[in-house]
Amino acid sequence: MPEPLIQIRDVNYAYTKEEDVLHDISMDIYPGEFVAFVGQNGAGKTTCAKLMNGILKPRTGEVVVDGQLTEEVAASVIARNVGYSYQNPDHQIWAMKVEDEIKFGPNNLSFSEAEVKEQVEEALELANLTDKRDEYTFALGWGERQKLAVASILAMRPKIIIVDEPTTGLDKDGSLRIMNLLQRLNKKGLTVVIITHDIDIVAAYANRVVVFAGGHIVRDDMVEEVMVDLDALEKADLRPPQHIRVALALKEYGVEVEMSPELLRENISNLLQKA
Amino acid sequence: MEKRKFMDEPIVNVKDLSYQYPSGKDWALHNVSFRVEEGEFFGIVGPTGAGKTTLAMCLRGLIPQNFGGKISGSIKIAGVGTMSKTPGELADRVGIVFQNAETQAIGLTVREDLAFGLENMKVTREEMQKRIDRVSKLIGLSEFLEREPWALSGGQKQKLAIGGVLAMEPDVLILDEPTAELDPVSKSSIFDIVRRLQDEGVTIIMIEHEVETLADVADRILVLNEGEIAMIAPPDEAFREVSLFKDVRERVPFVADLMSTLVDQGAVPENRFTSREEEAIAVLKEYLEGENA
Repeated sequence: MPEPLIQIRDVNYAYTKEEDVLHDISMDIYPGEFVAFVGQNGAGKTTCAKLMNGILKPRTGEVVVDGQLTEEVAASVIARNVGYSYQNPDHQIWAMKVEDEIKFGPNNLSFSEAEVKEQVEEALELANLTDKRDEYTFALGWGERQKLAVASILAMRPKIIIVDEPTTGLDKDGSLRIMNLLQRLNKKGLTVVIITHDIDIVAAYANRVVVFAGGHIVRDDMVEEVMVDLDALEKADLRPPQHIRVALALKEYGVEVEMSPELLRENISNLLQKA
Repeated sequence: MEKRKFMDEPIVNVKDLSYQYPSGKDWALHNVSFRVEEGEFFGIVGPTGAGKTTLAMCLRGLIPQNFGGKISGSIKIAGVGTMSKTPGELADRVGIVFQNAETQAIGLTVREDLAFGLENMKVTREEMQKRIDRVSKLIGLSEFLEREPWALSGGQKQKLAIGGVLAMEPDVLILDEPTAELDPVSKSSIFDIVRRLQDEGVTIIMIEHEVETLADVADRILVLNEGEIAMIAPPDEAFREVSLFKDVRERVPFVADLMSTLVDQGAVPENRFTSREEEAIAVLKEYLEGENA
């Protein structure tokens, strides 16, 4: 088992003195994982993510990123390893031109000029923005600004990227584009954490799902397990995707079927063709 | 209020509508014709850039009035040609709610916001009070009438936007992806309101990506692609055309995809095809039972 990239141990966190928004949170995130945080608004997902990149420090307990206690190092040091892409790309895009936006991060992290150049090229290419490098950032569509936000983080070569609501406000095509980008990066070894309400996206892309409710983790498991844990999902106000609802209804009826859409279709069609 | 009645005429009648934005080179809409009957739930789907919002703005009279551009054909809502009226004159015939809940509130309180349209329509104080009471209950904001709109949650803001339109008692309500930016709880509470309106007989035109929901609630679905109508049909007929949806880069509900496969393989007869989840599960159980017996 490799060392975890991020260790969260018995963490409590409060924005105000009155009330903790996270209670006794513990989890390890390993290199190469594709994790989804789900839960109602206010359940603690984003707070947890901000603890992971050192913007917030725990009230009690500890967060270790790449072997370093977040309390003992500056947020800018952690930012090298943990990239964080905000829910609204306009909260993080500041430059006039696409390329300048992507350069900003690595320039500030004391990479050499040659490294910056290489990393910017790589990020442009990964996000499919190479031919848009000279465009004005405000002239891009929402989906492209979302990709630009991710690209500007990639340029810092983080070990893990946290993306808050990558698909909100995007149509099917735009959602697929950003999710396929994250999947490609994950296959290349980048650890990915997404925060989302979209259960179809979770089922299609994540390996592991952490369900938050009321500042607690109510389930942390492989995606296949969580998708059929109706109680845990309900605590996050979620229902499984339609194909899983169908599979569960058939299971209850005594017909054993697979839970992926493709296998489920194959199963049913085989069962019906046997006769 | 007594609803206007229009014998022999559908509540929405669009004929050969074509439109080009002032800056556009291509038709944003091209030869679009359809009718919506009173009380119908009419769904519109299509990829980004298909012209869905443009069509909604034409129906509301915002195009061409506020945008200019080239327009031809005709649109009648509740018997009135929209192109010769100002958006204000159409306010009690057709209302629209947009995707972004943040930018739609105008009043300093929820009550003021609900009253805003009515004041412009010169509705009496008494009538205004009655309508605000009725609408605020319907949208579940009657406890929040003195609240400032900015202090509401995203879902509540969107309910307020719907309420402001409903207060004007339009003949037709247009919803342009009202839940796209909302979390699951707010989403389902908006759909609950929409279903209640449907039960009350309000004519609803809804642009929506949640095809599973449309399969359940819509009477008919219009598929728009590159400014043209690709299909108009009841959900079960529409979602049977899985390849058409793939061509226009739109989703069909999983059960529609599954049932299509089974029908094409001859495992389930054509007349048992359905795009509705509950019904699909019932059909599957029936046929799996048959096979196991």
